[in-house]
Amino acid sequence: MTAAELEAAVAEALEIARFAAAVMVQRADDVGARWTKASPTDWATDVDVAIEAEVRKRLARRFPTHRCVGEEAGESGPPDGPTWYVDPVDGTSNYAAHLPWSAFSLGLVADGVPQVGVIVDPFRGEVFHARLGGGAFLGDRPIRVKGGPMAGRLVMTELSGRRRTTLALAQNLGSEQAILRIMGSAALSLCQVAAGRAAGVVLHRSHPWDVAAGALLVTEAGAQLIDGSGQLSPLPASGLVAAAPDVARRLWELAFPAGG
Amino acid sequence: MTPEERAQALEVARAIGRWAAAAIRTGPGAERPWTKGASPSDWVTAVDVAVEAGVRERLAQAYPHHRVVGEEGGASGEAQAPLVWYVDPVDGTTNFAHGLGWASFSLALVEDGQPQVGVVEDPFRGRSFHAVLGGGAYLDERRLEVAAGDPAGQVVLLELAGHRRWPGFERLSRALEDNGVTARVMGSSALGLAETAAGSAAGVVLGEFHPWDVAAGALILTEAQGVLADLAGRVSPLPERGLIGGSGAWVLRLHDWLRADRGR
Repeated sequence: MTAAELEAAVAEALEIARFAAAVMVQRADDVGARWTKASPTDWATDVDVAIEAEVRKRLARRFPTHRCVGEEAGESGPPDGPTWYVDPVDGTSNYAAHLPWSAFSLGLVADGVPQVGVIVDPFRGEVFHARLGGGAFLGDRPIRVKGGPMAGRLVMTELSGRRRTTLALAQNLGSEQAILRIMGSAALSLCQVAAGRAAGVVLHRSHPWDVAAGALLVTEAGAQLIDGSGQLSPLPASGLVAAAPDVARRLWELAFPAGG
Repeated sequence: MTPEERAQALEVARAIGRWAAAAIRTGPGAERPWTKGASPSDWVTAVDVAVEAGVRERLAQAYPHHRVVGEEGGASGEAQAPLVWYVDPVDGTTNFAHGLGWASFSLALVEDGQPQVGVVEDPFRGRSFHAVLGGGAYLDERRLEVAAGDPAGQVVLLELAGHRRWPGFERLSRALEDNGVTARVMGSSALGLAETAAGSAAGVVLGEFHPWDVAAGALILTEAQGVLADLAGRVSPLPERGLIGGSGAWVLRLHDWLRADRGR
């Protein structure tokens, strides 16, 4: 993609994200119907569906050659174009319960590499964005990951449905004196690392719509991204570790002790 | 205390809470935090220290004879005073010290082990939780009530003890997952209690804490029709050795899951 195309994509993504965040806040106390999907902990609400439909419409109008893949309604658009991954509400369990820690996440991926990423925390009013080769930003301020020892610092994870991994991580982080958080939004967890607030993030399971935007954000903020098998990857598909380069490998060892 | 005295104390506490929330929101933030003593997970920032000093000053003006116990400055006032204010200038300091926006301000007035007034502020979202004994619990203007209902799909808030797991943490985590309940470890005990009072979480379980972490949230939860018990299951308005909070049914359920010998 050309620099001009990327600029246009960032501008549109930011505009869409502001719209989505406004809807999330407006409907926070009245999410409409809510139901579970694959498991009793996998929630969707009317708000998820409504936001995703509007995002899809706006993207199709602005970028008719692009594909769109969303958490709620699957795939649309031409099969082989650059692909937008949209998570209308990342952290729906929290959102459906009115626990104000959730996000809107939108990422553009071409040839397996994230090009544009925007994540909004509507409840704190923070907008994160990144463009491939253009750095990562919170609002208009550049952000960087923070390295150094993990002791006394935060490491973010999310429940994976495979509890041994989460409990083993809790134990291994404890022995490093790092402090585990399970907040409920993979996208926001990645933002905290990109902004240097958390030392790292570990995801034992993720979907591209959860992490496409956040993966670019942490990379552009200077993090190393490692997949579950230990390979560096711009968009890990199976397991994900993100942290500053001096601690990423160590965190991967703690998170995937059997070598992924 | 009489109901009138309590109502007056709530107004004082809410005004202090508004001041503190603004000070936390607009202050220097997480600039150069430091750790206390030997633990790498016991953080302090200049904001903690300044906010607590400001709270003490305001309380000394309004209630010169009350005792004040704070996380950073220890105890002040008359040692035998029956009325004690507990202040946690920043609850969730580890989050705050690193810039992660999930932290709170907590202020409570306690008489003989019974919280009378409680205020928990969420400065990053401009939310104010408050309660007065016998007068109900509120988030801003909205009256609060704990969540009931089936376990599956609900959220329960746990906290670690610093960077460590406390005895029972792992057993409870397993039981939550077996029952389709989503566990969160978010980093502020006071917000955990307040969110449970609001029904945003079905329950809250803490292994280790100080009275200034939980005194305000405890009252907000019980005034929202919630129940509090210690980890042994003894119901108390202000538990000391571990804490389980939620609706009566949820406290029983969580206590069962905590003590069950699951043999793994």
